[in-house]
Amino acid sequence: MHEHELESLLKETLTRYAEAHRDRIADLEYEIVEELPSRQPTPRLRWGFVGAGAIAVAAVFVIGLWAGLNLFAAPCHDPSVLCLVYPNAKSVSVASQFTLWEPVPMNGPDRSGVWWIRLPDNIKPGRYEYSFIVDGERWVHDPRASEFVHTFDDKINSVLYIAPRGEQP
Amino acid sequence: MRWLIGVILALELLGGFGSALAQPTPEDVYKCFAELGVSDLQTLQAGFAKGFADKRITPDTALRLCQRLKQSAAPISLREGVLQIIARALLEELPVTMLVDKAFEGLTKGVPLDVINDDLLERKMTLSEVKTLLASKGITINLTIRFGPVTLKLTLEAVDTTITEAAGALEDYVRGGGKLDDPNAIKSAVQLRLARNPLIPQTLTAYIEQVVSAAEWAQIAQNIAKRLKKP
Repeated sequence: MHEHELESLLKETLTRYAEAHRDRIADLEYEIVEELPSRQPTPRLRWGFVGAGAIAVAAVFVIGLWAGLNLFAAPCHDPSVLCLVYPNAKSVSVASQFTLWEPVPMNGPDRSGVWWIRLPDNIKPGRYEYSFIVDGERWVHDPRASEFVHTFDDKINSVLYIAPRGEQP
Repeated sequence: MRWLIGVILALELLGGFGSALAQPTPEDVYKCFAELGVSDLQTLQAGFAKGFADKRITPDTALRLCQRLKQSAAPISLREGVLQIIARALLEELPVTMLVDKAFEGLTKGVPLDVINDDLLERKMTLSEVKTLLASKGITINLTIRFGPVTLKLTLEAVDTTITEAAGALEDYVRGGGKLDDPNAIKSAVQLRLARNPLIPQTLTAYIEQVVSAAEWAQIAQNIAKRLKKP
């Protein structure tokens, strides 16, 4: 049998087969389309992304917690900050040798009623007396000070020591 | 590029002039004294000029004090009194930090000016006594102390701070009700104060502990008590 004879025989057979199964072939396309969603690959968890997301959420939580506790609370743990707890005051100022006793308003109060002020960066090393002024009229000493002195009219000044930069006070 | 550098330099120069102009001069201070209506401008000028030259007070601080006194409603003699006490202290080459500070503090706290004057006068005497005591032990500017392995040449700042702190410690001891019949406690108060001030070299503090006796410090404390009429 020649090659062209074999080809035409094969063609005829396929045509007959297609004619015989026309109904099934017509629905084949729809069957494939219907089959596709159920054959989609199941999405697999990518643990790297999950881990990174969890860390990011935890970081945001920790930063938020830190900000809440620190940014909106007086930084009294800082040795260069003066603090006074006085929740009922309307205003608190500090007057000192380093301000030539001019009252300088303090920040606050924070949620705990703490008023605070950061010492000037250019303050020279040495010993300084200071006092707080509550509501513009009441002179109050700093209960956190390490030293106190008597001054005019037996009032009390608080004392702070500023060490040279890089040294402990 | 060159023009840009030129502009930056010009701006720097202008900034420098600006800040130089912003700083008060001795003349500004004397003008303020005159405006205050003082009776003895000559002594004030002489005292403060010496103070500016010795760097014991700056024109800025002196001008601020004068301006604060201008705002006071007290008689001019009392206002001038504050300046005269400081001027005389400067002429006597005493450190005036404590006097200036107490003047500002008193003015801010609304202390009557006669009380401030008495306070400053009393403290000036203490400063003078402490200076005399330390000088009698050779503790003056340019003294070279050889203490153990350390050699220390005293600066004006170190001597002035030492006088100020020792005088302040004695004043605070007496005003705070410290016992006058306990010379060792008085000496301890002075030594502690000197030791805590970072501007006073430790070598100098140790040297003073050796050469100044408790009785000598106690004598000054008793003088203060007499002046303050403390029992």
